[in-house]
Amino acid sequence: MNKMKMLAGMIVFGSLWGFSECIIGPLLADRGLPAGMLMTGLFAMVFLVFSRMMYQQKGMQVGMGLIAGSLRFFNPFGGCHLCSAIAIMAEGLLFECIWNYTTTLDLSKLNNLTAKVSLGIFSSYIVFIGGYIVTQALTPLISTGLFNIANLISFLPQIFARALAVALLGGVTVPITLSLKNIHMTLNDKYYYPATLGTAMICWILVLGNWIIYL
Amino acid sequence: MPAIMTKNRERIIPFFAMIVLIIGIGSTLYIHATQSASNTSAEIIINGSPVSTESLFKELSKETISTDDGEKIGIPLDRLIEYIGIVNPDKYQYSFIASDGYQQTVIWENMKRGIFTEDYRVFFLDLAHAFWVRNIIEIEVKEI
Repeated sequence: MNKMKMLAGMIVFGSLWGFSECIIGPLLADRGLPAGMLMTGLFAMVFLVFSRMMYQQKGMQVGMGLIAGSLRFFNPFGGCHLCSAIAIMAEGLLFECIWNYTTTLDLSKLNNLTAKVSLGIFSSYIVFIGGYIVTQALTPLISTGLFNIANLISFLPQIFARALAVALLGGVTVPITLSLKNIHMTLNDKYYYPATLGTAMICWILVLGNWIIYL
Repeated sequence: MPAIMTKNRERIIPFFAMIVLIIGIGSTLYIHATQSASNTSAEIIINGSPVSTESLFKELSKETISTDDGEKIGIPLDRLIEYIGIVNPDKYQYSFIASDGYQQTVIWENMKRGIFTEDYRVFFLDLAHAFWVRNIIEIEVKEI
């Protein structure tokens, strides 16, 4: 695949992920919904799996995490921005490691439903826990300069328990997303770059606009 | 090579999924068995001793602080620590422990910009929301 096409794809999917973390996540949280769980088990998984299936390129999901994390850094809501940004980047990295190790890039060969559901459960669980632990470790370190390992250890059972719902959600989201392999989307270059980069730009404008309004 | 190897790895994935589900279910059972959802007692433990929250709120004056989540009313944490008799408070660090096991540790400088509210929660002006611990059951005072 053309590297420029992959880069544009990485930017658009990373921006969509970042947009959902910055704008949709807080909206869900305001309505009392478990935003963190939905963000990982639903939004992140759909964007990560769909982009992997569509582009079949190694390293793309790490790049998406970097872009989504950068966008999250500019979002003024929700406390330690740098910690949340790094947590999203860690999620992209963990997803990439798990899927590189367990699958080939051509996901159309993944026909076994048990494998699809299991992959959804395992990757959602690990990605959620990874992001959560990174946030829990970095927030005190960056805010106060203190990192008390006992604080993290005492909360681990809660993190492991909360990740259960994310795993179950991932067990549904991932097979459904993988079933979209039969949808063939082809855009000619003339429309591909304006469509992808235009969508990414809208995501950035909305998040940055939200930030400026808040200031 | 990779196709065969990956095929084998695909077979391992259900076991990995099973393991994380067992960890998740085990942790859920563990926290339901050991931790309460909220502080239903009229006391909190400060520096190892139980303190009546009713007397705290009767004897100490409250202050209002303006956070990015609106105005919050509570007892200033520095006043609370002085009230329980801690000498040289800047030589200690303070851990707020919630009923679900969540805890955060701060230093004296942060305590001077925080409050403890009647619903057993702390708010800080200069710290991330992660430090706004809910359902506090204990404030641990440890030497730095």
